[in-house]
Formats: sequence, C-alpha cells, structure tokens
Amino acid sequence: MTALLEVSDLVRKYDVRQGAWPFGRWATLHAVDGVSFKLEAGRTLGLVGESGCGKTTTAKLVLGLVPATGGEVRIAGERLPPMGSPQWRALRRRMQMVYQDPLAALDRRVSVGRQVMEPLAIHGIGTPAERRERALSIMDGVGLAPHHFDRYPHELSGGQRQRIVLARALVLDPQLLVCDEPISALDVSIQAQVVNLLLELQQRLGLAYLFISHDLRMVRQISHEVAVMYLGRIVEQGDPDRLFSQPAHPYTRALVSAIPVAHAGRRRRMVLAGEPPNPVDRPAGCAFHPRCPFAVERCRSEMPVLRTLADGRRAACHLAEALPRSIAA
Amino acid sequence: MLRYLAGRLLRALLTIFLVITFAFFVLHASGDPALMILSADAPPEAVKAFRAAWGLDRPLWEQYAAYIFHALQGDLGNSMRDGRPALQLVLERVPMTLAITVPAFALKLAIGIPAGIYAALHRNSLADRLTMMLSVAGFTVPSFVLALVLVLVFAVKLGWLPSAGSDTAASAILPIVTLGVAGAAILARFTRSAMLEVLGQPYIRAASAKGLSWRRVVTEHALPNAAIPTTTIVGFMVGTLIAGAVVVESVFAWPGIGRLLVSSVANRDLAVVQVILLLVAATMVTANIIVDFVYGWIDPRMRSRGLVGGR
Amino acid sequence: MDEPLVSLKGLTVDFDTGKQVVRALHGIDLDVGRGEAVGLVGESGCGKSITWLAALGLLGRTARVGGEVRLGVRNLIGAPVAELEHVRGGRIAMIFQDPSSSLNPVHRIGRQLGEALRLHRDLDGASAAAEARRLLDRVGIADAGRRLNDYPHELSGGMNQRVMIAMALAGQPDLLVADEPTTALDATIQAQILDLLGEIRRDSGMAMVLISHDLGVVAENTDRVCVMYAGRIVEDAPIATIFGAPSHPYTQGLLAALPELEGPRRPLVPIAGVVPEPSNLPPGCSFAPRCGRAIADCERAPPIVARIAGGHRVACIRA
Repeated sequence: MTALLEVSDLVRKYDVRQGAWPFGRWATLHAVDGVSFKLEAGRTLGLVGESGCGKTTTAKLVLGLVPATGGEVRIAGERLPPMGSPQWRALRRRMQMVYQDPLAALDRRVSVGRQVMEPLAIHGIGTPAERRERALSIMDGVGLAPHHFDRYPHELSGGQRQRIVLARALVLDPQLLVCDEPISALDVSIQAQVVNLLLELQQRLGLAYLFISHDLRMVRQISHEVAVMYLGRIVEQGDPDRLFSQPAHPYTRALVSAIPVAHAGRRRRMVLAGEPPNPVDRPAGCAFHPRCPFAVERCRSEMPVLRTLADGRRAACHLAEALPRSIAA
Repeated sequence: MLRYLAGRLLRALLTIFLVITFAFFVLHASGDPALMILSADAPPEAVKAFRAAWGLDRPLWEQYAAYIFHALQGDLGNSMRDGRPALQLVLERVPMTLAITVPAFALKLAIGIPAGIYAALHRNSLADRLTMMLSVAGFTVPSFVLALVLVLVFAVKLGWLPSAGSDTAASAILPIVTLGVAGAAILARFTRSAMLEVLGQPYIRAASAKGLSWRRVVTEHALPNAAIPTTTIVGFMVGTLIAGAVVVESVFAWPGIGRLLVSSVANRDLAVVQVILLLVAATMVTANIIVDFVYGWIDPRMRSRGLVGGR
Repeated sequence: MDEPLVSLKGLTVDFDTGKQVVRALHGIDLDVGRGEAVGLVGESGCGKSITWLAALGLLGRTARVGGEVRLGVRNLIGAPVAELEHVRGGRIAMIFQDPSSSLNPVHRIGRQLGEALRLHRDLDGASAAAEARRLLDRVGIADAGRRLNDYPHELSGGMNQRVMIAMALAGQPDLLVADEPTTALDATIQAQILDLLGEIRRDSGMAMVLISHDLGVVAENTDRVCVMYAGRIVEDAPIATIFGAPSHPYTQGLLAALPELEGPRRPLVPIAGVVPEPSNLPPGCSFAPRCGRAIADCERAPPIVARIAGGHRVACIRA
C-alpha cells in the first residue's frame, strides 16, 4: 500500500549573503538537506529539533508552500504539483496547516463562523446554508459551542482560538494536518486540552499528523514515530518511547537530557558545549561533531548516513552501537 | 563601500534625470510661452519670431535633445523673460529662500522634538493631550490660512511686524513662524510615537531594573533608539529647504525660489522652471542619501546586516 | 528561622485602565531567605512577573502598588526613588525572558555592562573594562575582550542571556530574579543557562527567584515552589512536597496535564475551562469554577492561606 505522504531525499537550499551588505560573499544554506520519511493515514510523525534545524521548512515543503530544490514529495503516490496550479489547489484540500500563533492565523475582523466556512466558499463547496451547517458541526467536533459562531477571535481564549484554527483546517475533510508548534503558545493546562482533542480527532477521522514541536514530552504523547533533526538532516528516527528512553544518537540524548523533569530529584544531565553552528558553515563530517562529547577522528571527516539499527530504528551516527543507551549515564 | 556609494550616486542622478525629463514634456505640453510672455494679442509675426528665437518651432524631441545636450555642458538655458541665464537667476534667489527655510527648520526641530518627547514621557497627561491637540491643529490648518491669521493679528491689529515684503529683518519673522508651526506639529507627532514605541521595549525596563535613574534611561537608552525613525522625517524636512516655501513666499511676497517658481510657471518661462525643479530634485536626493548614512551611524543593525535573504 | 532576605507582605497591584481599576495581585505573602532558590510558577496572567516588577517599582504609572516589600529594615513600597535605584541591580537584580530585546540594540555590550559597574561598583575606565571582561568570562563567553565591542544583534539569544546574567552579577546582588530566563531559548541552550545560574549561585551564595511556566525548570533548579493562580499564591511548598504530595487542586491539575518523557504513556488530564479574567474574578476561590472538588463554600469567599505543615502553605478549604 502506498503511504499517504512519502518524502524522499528532500532538499531546500537558499542563497544567502554572509557579512554586511554590500560586502560579503554569497553562500549556500542547506535548510533541508536530504530528508526522507513516510507517513501512513491515521498516524502521527513527530518532528523535533532546535530552531533553525529545518523542521518548519520541511513542513512548508510538504505542503508545497516552498518549492523544493531537490527530491520529491508524494501524496498518496502522486507527485506534489507546483504551488498555485489547479492540481495543487485541489490537493491542498487534503492537506492543511495549523500554525503556532492562532491569533496571527485568524482575521480579527471576521467572525469565527465565517472564518470556519471560508475554505468551503473558496473551493465552492455547498450552498451557504450547507456551509453553515457543516461549519457548526465541525465546530461542535472541536469543542466550540454554536454561540461562538458569531463571536470574533479576540473575544475568545488562546485555547479556543486554536480550536477555531483546527475547525477551519478540518472543514474540508483533509487527510493530513501539518501542525507547526500548534500548542507552544498555549498555557500548560490548555495544551493538554488541545493535545487530547488532536488525539480524539485522529481516532474519529483517521487523520495523519506531521507534528512539529520542540516539546519532546508532547511529541511523545502524540506521535507514533519521531524524527530528530539537526542542521537540516534527520539524525535519528524511530519509536518515540524507545528513542527518548534510549537514544542512539548523542544529539537526541542531549535533547532528552536537556528536558527538565517535573518531579523531585535531579538527574545528571548531559549539557552540550557551544551552540548549533551557522547552517551556512556546516561542519565537515558529522555536522554534530564539534558539540559531541563522544566524537572520534572518523566523525570529523566522514558524514554518517542514516542507517537502520538492529532494533529497527534509524540513526546517523558512526558510534550508534558503541555508545551507552541509558540517559542517566 | 565604494561600490555602494557609486550605486547610490548613480541612482540619484537617474532620479534627477527622470524629474527633468518629465518636467520638460509636461511643461512643453501645457501652454505656449510665446503667448504668455508676449501677451495673447501680440502680432502673429512677433509670435513667430519669438518661437524661432527660442527654438520652439522645432519638433519636441529635438528641443529635448538640445536641452539635454546643453545641460550636460552646464548650460541650462536662459530665461525667456529677461534673457539672463536661468541658473544665475535662480541661484540669486536661493539665499532669500534659505533665509526663511533654515530658521524655520531650526524652529521645527527646537519645538517639535522636545514637545514630542515630553508628550510621550507624560502620556495621557493634560500636557500630552494639549500638545497633540495643538499638533493636529498645526498640520491640518493650511499654511495660507495660518499666514493670513498671523498677518491679521501681528501686522494689522497689533502693528508689530510688517505684513509682507523683505525690507527689514522683521519681515522674515512671520514667514518663518508660518513655516515652522506646521513642521513642528508633524515632527512632534512623529517623535511622540517613536518615543512611545521605544519606551515599550523590553530593554527600557531592563535598563531601569539595572538601577539607572529614569532620566538616564530616557537620555541614554530611549532617545538614541527613538532617533532612528525620527531621522526619516527630519531628512524629509531637509529635502524641502529649497522648495517647501512656495505658498508662504507667495502670501508674504517674499522674493525667494517659491515665488520665482510661481511666476515662472505662470509665464511658461521654461528654462527657469526646469532649473528650479532640478535644484529641488537634487536637494531631495541629497537629503535621502544623508538620511541613509545617518541611519548607518545611529543604528548598528543597519551597518552589519548579516544574512540577507530569508529562510 | 533566620530573618528572610526579602519579605513580601500583602503585596497588591491595581491597574488603572482609565475606565476601571483592575486588581492583578491580591495580597502576596512571600519570604525569600538568604541564598534560597524559590520558584514561582503559574500560567500567563497569574501575576508571577508582576509581583517582582511591583516590588522593584518597575510597573509604571498606571499601576498602584500596596502592601510591603521588606528588604532588611527598609520597605521598598513608597521608598524614595533614589533608594529604589540603589536596590535595583545592587541588591536585587533581574533578568528577563527575551534576552535579545532586553539589551539596547544601539549600544555595545561593553558599554551596557560598564553602566552597571559604574552605578553599583564605582568602577570606571580600565578597571571597569577589566571587570567587564572578567564577568563575561565568568558567564562562559569565550573571547570576552572582543565580545565587549559587539552589539547585541551580533550575538545569539543564549549569548545575550549570558550577557544579561553578567550584567546582573555586576552589582553583586543578594537576590537574582530570573523571569522566564530560558523560555525564548532552545532546549540545549536552556540547559546551559540553567546550569550556569546554578553554578553562580553555588559560588556566590546569591538567592534566586526563578519565575517560570515550566514546572520542570522550577523542579530542577529551586528548593521551594510557589504556585500562583489569578493573582494569588495558592500553594507554597518544598519541591519534594509539590511534586510528591501536592495539596491544591490546581497544582494537582497542572501536574496531571503534563506528559512525561519516561514510563508508560498515560492520557493527559486537562484542567477544564479557562483562567478567569482579572476584571471578572468569581467571588470565592478563583479556581472554583474549574475545580473538580469545589463545594458550595468555595464560592463564598476567597480561601485564606493556611499553613498545613512546616513550610507548606495552601489556599484551599478542601485541602
């Protein structure tokens, strides 16, 4: 069976000028550098990594909002048509995006109901009465009451606004939701509400999620599979429980160990030295080697490929088998 | 840096060239200088002779080519009215105009900036509201209305100042005030909003949290940042030093560039109008270049913009 | 118990919006001991940042502050401005959420550090420059001498937060108030900054108030936590108690809403409803409308804070 979403060897480069204009030289920034993954219907792939690792660019590439420099995106086996074409528009009905800041994604002068109905109007679906009917039923499905229909976004709370964004994305009956940090702007008690809603919608509607977040705990909660990105590449990919409890890649390990734990008792933590390098000056060999406490000579010269390990997960590290797996070490 | 400068200069020259070209065609299409200068009921032979003498009987593009050709050699033509070189005629008037626009510019800065800062620092106070009310009044009242009111009060009623002309130094006072008020009003509004924007920034709170006195937070942290957007509007005002006084000069019969422009346009004294427009464009463009450099000087982020082109 | 370093007593804040006066803080009682690390957690709008901005008189003219902030024998509320300026940065320093915009974009790092050194340590010229270099070095900035000539936009967010910490240390304060110091930073950088703060505290014996929405950050970096909700402290207890045996339903709710990174995945239990508007608080306990254990009495009057064990205070009649 073909996967709902299949991404192979996706590349996105940008030309950037280094140094102050009008000086400096042009250099190439590899925002996404050879990313491949599959996502089946009804499943969630979590994409984690720090700012600038390429996860948001990957999301835009998947939706065709940014043209790829190389590689391809296939939706249900078909190649993604170029942005703006009628075929792309038709396909976009099946893939929707949910952004981090619901207030920015919504038009504050337009009532909630009209915003939820808007995609239907754009695609010319149904009569006005049918659209209204559909919008109300979708709003009910995401936990919004009928009286919210005539309200405006600023009159609602952050969590409710994210529900509007979800309702608007769902009104076209998509198969895939690309969620870019959908809960980061929300308060803790509301985050759980939205995550539970996403899980419930997936069960009910068979949605697939590409779930981008820097919050590993939430990603584990919602994902069937997780991919960790560093400087435009996937460095480790696999089952979230195993990945987070026994990371194979030192970067995953550092990410996991950087998460403060909300219970008493401190653990030893692996604190990385330095900051992620400028993506324009990608280190030779393994891009992570300058910050990696385990790096050996080989890491400095040879770029590790993403390969499948004995336990089924994939990791891009020469030392994946040799390193201890336990976080506490 | 040199490449940058050369680029800027080239663009500036292009702007000026476009202005002259545009003005040339608009002016030539909008009326016959011969009829204006000789009067409408002049004998046809005289009109014909006048046209031949000034080359007005040749095709327009030929006139244009000749004009540009001469202009590149520094000859900007002669006034059709008194036959003297247009450039000389215009330059003679420049000091008169500057005599009112420069003091008016100083007045704008001296009133507008402090008023704006004060209003921002005392936001929503009575003083703030009053300043902003005056400011709105200042730039919504047309300058000729303001000029007439000032004349009525200070010349006619009180008799303290002359109502027009340029005989004494006191004659300059009313034109300067008229010009200054509107500019000061605009500047006050601009400075206030720039200040308010800056005062809301996290680094202002952080500077206070460091233990700096409010006075030093304002002078050392808020003002330098508020100066960045204010520079734009001040630069624009520098650009209007030459041509910003057309109405005021006309109302007060002040013999500056503005009045020369009005009478030359009325007479279709083409060469003179062209020279004035050239001068105006040159001042504007120069002011723009200065603003860019001032930006670079006060805002380090402009100096070293790192990555250009987005993600 | 020793005399606390700072003691907030009945601290209130009202904001005058011109149309109405809205109470944002409803009487905060909080002691911070010498060298102690206290966490302040709660969701946005609960008043955790306002508490310390009010204590230092940094809220601006629309805020009316009441109650007491005791620092030694002094009460900072209503104190003369000059006295407050001496305390700010000198006795109590603050660092903020967004380090890159907390530094002035048009001044060099060195100048901004020098300002604090001149204010609180009377250092100038070469001695100030030397001390600035030492401070940058102390907060783990390599090549400190050169960095002094950099502008904030030339440094990363993590580096700028180190500069902010260096600036806070310049005044050798007794208390550092860190207001969401790592929220804007990436996970691995957050870990570096929190480690640095811990290390500095161990070396200098400085007390710290760590304000955060992240229970994990607070759990790992403080001794004691105050949980705030709608302008009140609802629970105040040592770390082990808060995470082991929380008493207030809101604290319990926050913990249940938080997913774990290890162990079996369990369904999250969200807290129903939303935080009430400060201008429209319920008459009784502010949490009652969202509380699963609320009874009729909860809606009558706000619960008073009761000490249920040594060092454990709760504002809940059902606790």
